[in-house]
Amino acid sequence: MKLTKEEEKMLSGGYGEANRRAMEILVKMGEYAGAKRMVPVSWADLSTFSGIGGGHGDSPSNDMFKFMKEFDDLCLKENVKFKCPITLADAGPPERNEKLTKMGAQLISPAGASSPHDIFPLPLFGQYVTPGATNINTYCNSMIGARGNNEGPIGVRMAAITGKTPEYGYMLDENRHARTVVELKVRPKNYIEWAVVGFYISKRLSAHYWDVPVLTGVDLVTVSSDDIMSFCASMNNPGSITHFLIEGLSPEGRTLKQALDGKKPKEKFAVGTREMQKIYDTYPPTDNKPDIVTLRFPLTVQRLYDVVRLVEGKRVHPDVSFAVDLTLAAKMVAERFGLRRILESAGVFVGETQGQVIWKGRVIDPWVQAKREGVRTMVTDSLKDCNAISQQEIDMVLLSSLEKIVNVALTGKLEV
Amino acid sequence: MAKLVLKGHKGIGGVAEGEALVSKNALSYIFDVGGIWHEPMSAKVTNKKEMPDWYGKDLAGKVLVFPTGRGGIFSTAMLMGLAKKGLGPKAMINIKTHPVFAYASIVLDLPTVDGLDKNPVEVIKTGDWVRVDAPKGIVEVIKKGR
Repeated sequence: MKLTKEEEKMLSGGYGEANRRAMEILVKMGEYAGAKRMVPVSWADLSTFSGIGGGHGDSPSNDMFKFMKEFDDLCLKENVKFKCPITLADAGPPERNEKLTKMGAQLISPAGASSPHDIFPLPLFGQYVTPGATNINTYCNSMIGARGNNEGPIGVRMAAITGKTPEYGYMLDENRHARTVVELKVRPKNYIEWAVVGFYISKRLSAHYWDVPVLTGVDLVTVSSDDIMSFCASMNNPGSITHFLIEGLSPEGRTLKQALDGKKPKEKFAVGTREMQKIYDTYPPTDNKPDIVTLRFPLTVQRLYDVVRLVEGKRVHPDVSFAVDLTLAAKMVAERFGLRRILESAGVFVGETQGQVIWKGRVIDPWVQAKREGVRTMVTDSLKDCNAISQQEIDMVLLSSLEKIVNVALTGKLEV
Repeated sequence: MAKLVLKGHKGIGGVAEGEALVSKNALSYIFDVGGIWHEPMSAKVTNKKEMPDWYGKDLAGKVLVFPTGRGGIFSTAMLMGLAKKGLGPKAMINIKTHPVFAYASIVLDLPTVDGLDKNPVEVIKTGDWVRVDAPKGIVEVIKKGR
């Protein structure tokens, strides 16, 4: 890699040990990925690794937490601050929040936030970025046209400190174009159906996710940003699609010709009702009674009102735990206009951070605790939950609409 | 003794050798390796739906050969956690290494290579003995049973 004088000085320790360590890691990554140079980062998102440790986002022995703590302590000792102009973070333990704020990060969201709903300001077209959460990354690449790779907490933190990241992958012009054409032969009815479409595509391309897909046949009038955020989340689940294009919607895919850069695609396939059914069949209803019902994809204001309408004046079945996540905006609306009270009066648990549910009177993170806490069956709107939790041999059931999911919570029955 | 040599570019980490475990599927340490949450902890694959060919296999101490990583950013932390307990892989060989895995390899100094002149998922078989020389970007494969 060709480094500037400033980058060389960082690498040789001229700006202290923290910058040296950070630049060393970035250079190793750049050399491995074939980067020729570093580029300046405009926007970094430290979210999803909240530093809570021992659970969602970390190993059982908190190894990422310890790695980050040691690095942050070194930065503070050397009075090193984030060089990236916009460095965002989600809230974690108070000690960590204080450290990150001292280093110049802006705390913007609850712990574990991993949806573009709650990340602001978002970056701009063409900027080099290092997002934290996969679906935020995919949204930034695909719908905004910012350029970022899916690197995880270490790459993001080192880029935020140095203000630089190696130029490879989706930062390069040649990797921004589509190589796969996906014809959408169905009109997804809601955010869950969009997630199902995304899951199918991601699974199909999982062993070569870099063959960027372009979707054709999308109804550009009815599709919403909420749908696309849900789509982005599941595009990173059975696979790792960091960048896709939608013909007529993505800034780099105004036409199919532009999306493909005038070239022939490597592969073409279609997604219709049959393909979607394959995904539903992977997480089908069971004969078990449902233990936990969760709306894991954060409720927007619109979907908050939908859920309130469905539960108002009713009660969640006593054998079922029903939990919802709210976006920051929905949380504000819920509290200001008494909607949270309606939810809680109906027996709905409103999680403080993403993914929380209540089980036997305690708040748990089912991603890591479902099996050991004796959960057998969960009903969800989230394919990410299905994928993460089913590996604990929990029966995961994906249903196709809010109405169906809320009905299970109220009746305590799963109709097979 | 039948020996196959794959050549690529400089990798991450040093030199390691061991028995190959090969999958045609992309791997996620958070979605697939549920053994990390069990007592005693293991690197056992528990995701039957998305990782069927490695279901029930223990990834500890193996040279893992798989196309790339998938899903989620937490694989870095999980690899760090398993490696600390001596349950990490000996080395990783990919068609293209996912950045989430590459950063784990960098901080763990775990031998990792990609971009080889032959598709490793096709030419290496489970049970082959594999030597990964990451600084030179070379993989030597001694075929099982030959």
